[in-house]
Amino acid sequence: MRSTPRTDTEQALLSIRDLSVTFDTPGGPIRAVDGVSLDVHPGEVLAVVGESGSGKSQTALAVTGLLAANGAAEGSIQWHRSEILGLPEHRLARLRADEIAMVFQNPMTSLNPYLRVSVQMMEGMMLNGRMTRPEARAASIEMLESVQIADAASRIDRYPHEFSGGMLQRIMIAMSLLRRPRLLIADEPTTALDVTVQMQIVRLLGEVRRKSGTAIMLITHDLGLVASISDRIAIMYSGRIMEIGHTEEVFSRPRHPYTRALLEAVPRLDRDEAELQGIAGEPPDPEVRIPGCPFHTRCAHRLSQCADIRPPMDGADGHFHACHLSLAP
Amino acid sequence: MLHYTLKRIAIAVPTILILIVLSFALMHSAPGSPFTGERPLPPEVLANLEAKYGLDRSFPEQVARYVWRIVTDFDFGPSYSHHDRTVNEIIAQGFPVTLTYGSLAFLFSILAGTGLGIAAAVYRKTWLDSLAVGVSVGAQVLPNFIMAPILVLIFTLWLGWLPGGGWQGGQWPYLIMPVIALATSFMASIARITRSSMIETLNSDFILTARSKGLPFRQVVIRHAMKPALLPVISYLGPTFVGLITGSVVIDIYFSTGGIGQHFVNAAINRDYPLIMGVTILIGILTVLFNLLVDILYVWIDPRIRY
Amino acid sequence: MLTIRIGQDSLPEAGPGRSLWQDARGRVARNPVAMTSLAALVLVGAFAILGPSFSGWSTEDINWNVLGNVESAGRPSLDSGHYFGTDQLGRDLFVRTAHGVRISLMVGIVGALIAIVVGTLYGTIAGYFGGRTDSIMMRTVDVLMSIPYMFVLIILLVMFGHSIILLFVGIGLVSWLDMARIVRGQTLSIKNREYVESAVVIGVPAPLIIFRHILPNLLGVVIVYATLLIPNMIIFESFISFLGLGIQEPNTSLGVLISEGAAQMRYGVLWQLGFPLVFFIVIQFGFFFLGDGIRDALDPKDRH
Repeated sequence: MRSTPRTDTEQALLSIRDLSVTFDTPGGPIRAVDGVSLDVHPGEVLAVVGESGSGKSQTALAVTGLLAANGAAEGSIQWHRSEILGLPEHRLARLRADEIAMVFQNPMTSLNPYLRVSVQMMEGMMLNGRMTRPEARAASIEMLESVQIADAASRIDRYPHEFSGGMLQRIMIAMSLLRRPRLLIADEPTTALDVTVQMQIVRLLGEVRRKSGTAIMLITHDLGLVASISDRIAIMYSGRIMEIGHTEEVFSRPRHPYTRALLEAVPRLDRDEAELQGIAGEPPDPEVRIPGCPFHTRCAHRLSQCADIRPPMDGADGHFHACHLSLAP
Repeated sequence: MLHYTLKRIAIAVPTILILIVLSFALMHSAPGSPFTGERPLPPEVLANLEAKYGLDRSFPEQVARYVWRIVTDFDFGPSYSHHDRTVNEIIAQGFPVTLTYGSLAFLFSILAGTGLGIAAAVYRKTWLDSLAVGVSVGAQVLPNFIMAPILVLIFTLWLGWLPGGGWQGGQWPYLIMPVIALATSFMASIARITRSSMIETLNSDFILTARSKGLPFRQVVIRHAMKPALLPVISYLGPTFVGLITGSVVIDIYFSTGGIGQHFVNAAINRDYPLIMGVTILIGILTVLFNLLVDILYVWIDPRIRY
Repeated sequence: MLTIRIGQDSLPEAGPGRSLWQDARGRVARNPVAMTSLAALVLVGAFAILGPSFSGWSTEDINWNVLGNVESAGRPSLDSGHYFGTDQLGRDLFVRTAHGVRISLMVGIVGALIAIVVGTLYGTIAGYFGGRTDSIMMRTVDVLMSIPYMFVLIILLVMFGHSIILLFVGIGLVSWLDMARIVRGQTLSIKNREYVESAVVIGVPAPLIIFRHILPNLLGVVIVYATLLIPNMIIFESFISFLGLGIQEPNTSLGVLISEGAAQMRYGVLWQLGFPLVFFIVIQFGFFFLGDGIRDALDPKDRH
């Protein structure tokens, strides 16, 4: 049941089934991702939302084969219906070069401080002689202009520290789009930025999708941010997907107690501050495996089986949740 | 860049002058006058010295004359443990020797050290890493004065492959053991520094970005990780240089290579003050200049440092 | 981003809190490499102090029966009472090695103490007062660091005679620079902790703050660095003694013994190099791995 949240897998660009990621640490194995299944369809924006430590970033890194050396992934990850989990490094590298691009959280540290921006943008396009140097340079400048970097032709030869954080993130996005990827994974792309700049970046991502039809997997902890641009949303907690569905559906009719609690924790102008609620308690210790629902310790609607029996994915019409209790819509 | 270079040179020049004045003052305050040691001087040398340096004059005047002589003619005066030779002649004969095996040891420490360190970091937790860590920990407790006899024991006394000393114009069999004995502990330190800084660099965000672009790992290491990983090594070049010069004293003594280290120790034992001063000042100048070079290199490599 | 660190919070406040030190001691005790090193060092120390009482010889006694025939009669043997053999002058190497180890350890410990006291005071003052004081003091350290000290020390030894005291003090005084840098960095970070700031606010005088709040918190760093300094000081002393400029007769040190052994090894008396060398290497490795173990124990996040 839980391994088939959607039936139209054949259309999916990326199809993750029962993915688990385990890290081997001195204190014992730690399961960061625990049986995640989700699809990304061509041209859509899928938001993956969760607190830090919920496994969302590790899911993304597992897709591109960039897990840390002590991490191991199990399950299935299909790209265009062919298995990519366990591919040799050079095949994964080619996939990253041509089809799945990534943008990371902190633009200030994600570009190499010792290399000019031009070098870092052009090197990917010049791999294996795909483009000549002048072609790559022209394409880079053009892409920088399209993300609103003024005077791109001269600024491209500067070093990263000569740009602001927001500009660097736009440069990162431009760099990731150079190879016209089918999927862009943006891992907390706004977290390290000023609030005013955050919206710019989100708008830019929306524009990218509109203009180039690139699918986007947007990883974030900020529910408010994703509401505006995502088509679908997946809520993660403690390495598992709690709820997944169309954004309006999830926002208007959340089925999972965790999702509901999350939505209540988002400050909104149309509500009184007094109604704003945090979620009591702490996420579970990742070193301890929980047989049942990981949220049961903090859940207001806890049932007797929640601690021991893992709730299956349940739902219809593309809206699924993993809870023993089906909340009334 | 040019501005920074000029500024650093502007600091280096007075440093060197202060160095010369200080060593002269140090010698001047030595028991007796700077030019009379425990041994009675041959009268002709003493007369010569007194005439040349005007020992009857005031201290500042003496310093000024000494400094002036070095600055204008690079003249350190006559040695008085070698009656017929000047300090300049002795340095001119010993310095090329030190420079030859010293620069080879310098190159060997850097190339072998960084190579070992990078290999260990890139192939982390494999046998190569263990080997590199083992070698560098082992070599760190084998300073030159331990390495030298061990090498001679193995390659001269047991195997009979290499001569146990001498120079012979720097032919390679005479070079091998001095270079290795001198370089080993520095190679080990450089390997350790490189390894840990490469591991740290490979864990940084921009390496993840580079990998996410699908660059082959080799290119990630060479283009993206090499420069930041080697910066700490560049900072260590100054201490390495000083250490190699210091170590050359042991090499010269143990292998009878005839470099300036040998002259320095002999001068120290014979209280040949002009020679001690000459060697010390020369080494001081070289050290200051070398550090200047390293600083400029550092700024040139790291684009974030701007003066 | 590449490594995942879960469940290992940052280093708890370093300080004289009992539990932290007990914790650290426990971790050292459970580290087999560190404990082996400690045991080896204790044994070496015991040998240096007690060794001579198990031998009938003194450091200066010359066994005239051996002299001139050291290669065969001076071999290490239980029968002759020369457990480590004799040197080229027929003096007992067992007693001389014990004496040499004692002097070398003393130089190492005294030199390290001097370096630690000077370096800690200098670094604390620079770090605590900060600003102009700090920049002048640390710039001075930078300049001093680029001086080849071995030459300065040799010159001092030549000028003022080969006294052991001068050697001790000289070695310590030229080695405080690293200590000063490390301590200054630590002081800067401790200075900004709340308890120090609140002490400043309520008007506790600076010397009291330094002694009560800063110095105790530096203890961990100082201990770790001391275990690295001692073997370095021993190398330093051995280097000078190897050149014949350090420890003089009738005293001896590992450097002197190694130097004599290295000069004599061509005559088939390898034990004369071997025994001092083994002690030298055991001491070096011992302090190295002990220091490593203590560092790991005090800084648990650094393991892996």
